Amino acid sequence: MFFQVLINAISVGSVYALIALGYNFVYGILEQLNFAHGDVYAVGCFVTYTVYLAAGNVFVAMIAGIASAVLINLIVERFAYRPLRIKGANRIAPTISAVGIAYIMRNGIQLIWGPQTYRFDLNMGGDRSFQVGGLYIGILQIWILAIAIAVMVGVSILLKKTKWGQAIIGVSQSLPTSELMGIDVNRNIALVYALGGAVGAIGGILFCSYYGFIYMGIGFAYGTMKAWMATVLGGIGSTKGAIIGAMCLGILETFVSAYISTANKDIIVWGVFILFILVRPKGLFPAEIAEKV
Amino acid sequence: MLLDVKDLVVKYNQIPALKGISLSVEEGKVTTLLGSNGAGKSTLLKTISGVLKPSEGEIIYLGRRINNESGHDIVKMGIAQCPEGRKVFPRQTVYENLKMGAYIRKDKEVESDIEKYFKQFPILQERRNQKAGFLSGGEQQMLVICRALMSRPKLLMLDEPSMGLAPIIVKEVFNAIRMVKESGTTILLIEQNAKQALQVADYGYILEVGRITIADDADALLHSDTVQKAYLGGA
Repeated sequence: MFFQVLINAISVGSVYALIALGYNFVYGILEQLNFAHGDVYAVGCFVTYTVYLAAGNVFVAMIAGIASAVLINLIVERFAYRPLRIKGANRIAPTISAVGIAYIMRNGIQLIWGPQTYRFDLNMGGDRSFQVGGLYIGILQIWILAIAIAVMVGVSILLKKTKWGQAIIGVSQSLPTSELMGIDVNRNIALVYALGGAVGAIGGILFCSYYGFIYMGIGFAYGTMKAWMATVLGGIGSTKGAIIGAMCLGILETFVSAYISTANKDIIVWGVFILFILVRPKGLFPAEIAEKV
Repeated sequence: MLLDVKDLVVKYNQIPALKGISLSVEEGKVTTLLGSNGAGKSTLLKTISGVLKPSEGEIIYLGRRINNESGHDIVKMGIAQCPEGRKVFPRQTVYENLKMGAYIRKDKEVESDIEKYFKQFPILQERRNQKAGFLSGGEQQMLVICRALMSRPKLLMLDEPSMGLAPIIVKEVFNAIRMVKESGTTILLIEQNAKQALQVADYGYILEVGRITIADDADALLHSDTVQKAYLGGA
């Protein structure tokens, strides 16, 4: 049973990792608690669901869903966050704006799709599995792991090896110094929101596929909150931390559900989380150098 | 003239920090702007590099008015700045910091330029894979000078490169500035350390509470009584 649970745990963990990675992107640069992260990609998941029902093609559906999350983030950044940043507003101001965006997204979903829970199945092999030495591995689980690894490797290469990625890392350390390098800081930040939305939407779509359902509240409860937990567990501002923190969270949740209690899962997981940050307030991988030297 | 500043007025929240100053930077020369804290030196640099916008006057660079250009476009025109307090990218390596300096470039010579600066400053070569946040103040200053040069600027602006450094390190920094001068890059140097600055400079301005009070050849300033008393400790 242990290894079977572990396989499931890794699937859940890698979904959380993608969600946290998208969240961490924006947080790492602007230190903005993006309350809207989950609800924006929830819209992407609903668009994916609708397009899949209409067109029947999983790739078209995913691209439409990702594109809608990217588009929303670009619009929100341009008209809600950027003006605050340029006017030098307190950091809490865009955070509260993001709370507003989260509500608008959630109620928007309710207006269009209603409050009910839908079955979410993109036919990615959720009902098929193969057996390896007594262990069942779902085709969907393979898809999830493959997509998660591809996205994480892609993002890491993008950040470390490309000019644009290095510019993002520069902007995350200092906006004015980055401007002195000739980086168009505003455009760079907009792209970060776009990428954060895209990675979050991929995570959200895989989450809905894995659990097989979707409803209007999925973004906050399973997205924003998990991303926060994972980011704090891993160490704020660290990409590696977000991924490993999310993995730990997925593994912990799955094992608690399997071995202890599904009903009391949240109590136990949050309890462990609170104890952990008491012992390691800076998370597993604290940033080694202060933001401003 | 490479750069002409004419009757520039810059205000912070309605309060003028620069009250109508004019100065020129000649191509291939080192021009220095001296003044004590709060005189408005950094305000001038921030305005030239597009971070602040002037409320009156103009900035002419290569015959073109650049008052309203954005910061990143001004870098593309060939004006690079080493900001006050160095401002390395602390979480990136020395090598990555230098690459950041070349952000606007699309040519193939970025790597060979990096190697060139590693040869000139062996300490940077030694620390190429270390995070810039771990370097000493002097090493960080060398790094930001090289980082600024990586954009291949026509005009390099240095904002108090000697600030907070030990006297022996200050000498090294000024030797580096001499090397830059010899390579033909035009420099606008802002300093409180008047003696070092005037020794490397060709021309100097003295800024006091938002106005230029004295302008002369650096040599003349170095030997002028007024400057000696006010900025060189009467020596």
